[in-house]
Amino acid sequence: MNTTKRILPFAAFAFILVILVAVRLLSPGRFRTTPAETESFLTGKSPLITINDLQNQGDKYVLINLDPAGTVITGITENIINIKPGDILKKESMQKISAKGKTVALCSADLAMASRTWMLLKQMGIEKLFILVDSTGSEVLKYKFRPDTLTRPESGI
Amino acid sequence: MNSRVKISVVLLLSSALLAVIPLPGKNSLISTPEEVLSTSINESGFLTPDQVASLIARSDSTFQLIDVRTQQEFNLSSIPGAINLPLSDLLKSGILSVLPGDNIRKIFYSNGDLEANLALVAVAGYGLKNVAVMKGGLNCWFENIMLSSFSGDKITPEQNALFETRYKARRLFTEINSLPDSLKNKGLDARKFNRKKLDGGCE
Repeated sequence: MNTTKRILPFAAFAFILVILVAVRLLSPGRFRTTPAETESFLTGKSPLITINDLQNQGDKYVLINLDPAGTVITGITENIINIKPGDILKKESMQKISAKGKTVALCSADLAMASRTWMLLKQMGIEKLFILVDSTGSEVLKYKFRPDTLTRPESGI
Repeated sequence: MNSRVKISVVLLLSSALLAVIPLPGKNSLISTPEEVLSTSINESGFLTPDQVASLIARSDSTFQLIDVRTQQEFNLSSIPGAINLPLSDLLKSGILSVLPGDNIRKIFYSNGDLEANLALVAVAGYGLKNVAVMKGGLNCWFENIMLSSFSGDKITPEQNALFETRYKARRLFTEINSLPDSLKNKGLDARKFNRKKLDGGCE
């Protein structure tokens, strides 16, 4: 009995610490990637995918439409879930996005918003996530700059 | 149990638990997902090429352009005043701390819309504030600024102001990018200095 009384404060202290650790580790609304993983999202394989590639990759997929509901997505009528970007972190949205085994493709007429949403979701730990596009060459510079050969350095430089 | 043993046990337990608690390290994400989402969907986080051209044309000092393309692409042509911070170097230790503070708007751009927006979300996660992206990237810059022209018989004052801004930005882009790499920054500073002298303002 005396031994129990003596170790009780330590046990209580240890129990509180374990609870704090568990809450921190297991809380759903936090980033789940390391800095190295975040860097790999920036420099790794492009997240852009065309509908043909998506259909050919074999896995079941679901499309997340970030635009207003009813927006036509390249002739696709099935497997579409409408989620506004501002609602992407809501519990029901995250449950739909993180459905096991499925590939998820974000669709939007605004590639900028789709890109931001993609990066955020990747940092939340969503795997098999892509951005649906018509063509994967959006990051290629289409124009060549022609220097003006008459330009001279300013005097005094 | 004497007090030394008790203290030792407490310290050992605390050490073991602290070893597994995911405390933020030097390079860890410090913003919450909600904060990053708020930054991402904020309308003020998107600037058009015309808005960027306007900032450049009036030598606005409250912004900093950040080009996230590779160094090779940056050297071929870049928007005057931009600094090059390739995606591969963006999150390297200490890099974000050398960027301007919260009072300076950091405007990211790339060739299109993808890379600059990925960079914005990444740096927002590390606590960088007052960030934005130039929509459409350099492709849109070329279409709207470098290759724009007016066609018609009459021009409204608003159109005139727009095309004047575009002309100034286009001229500066051409002049600066036509200089050798080693003189580009000096060329930009010299033009700012000359403009101040013409305005008659204090230096």
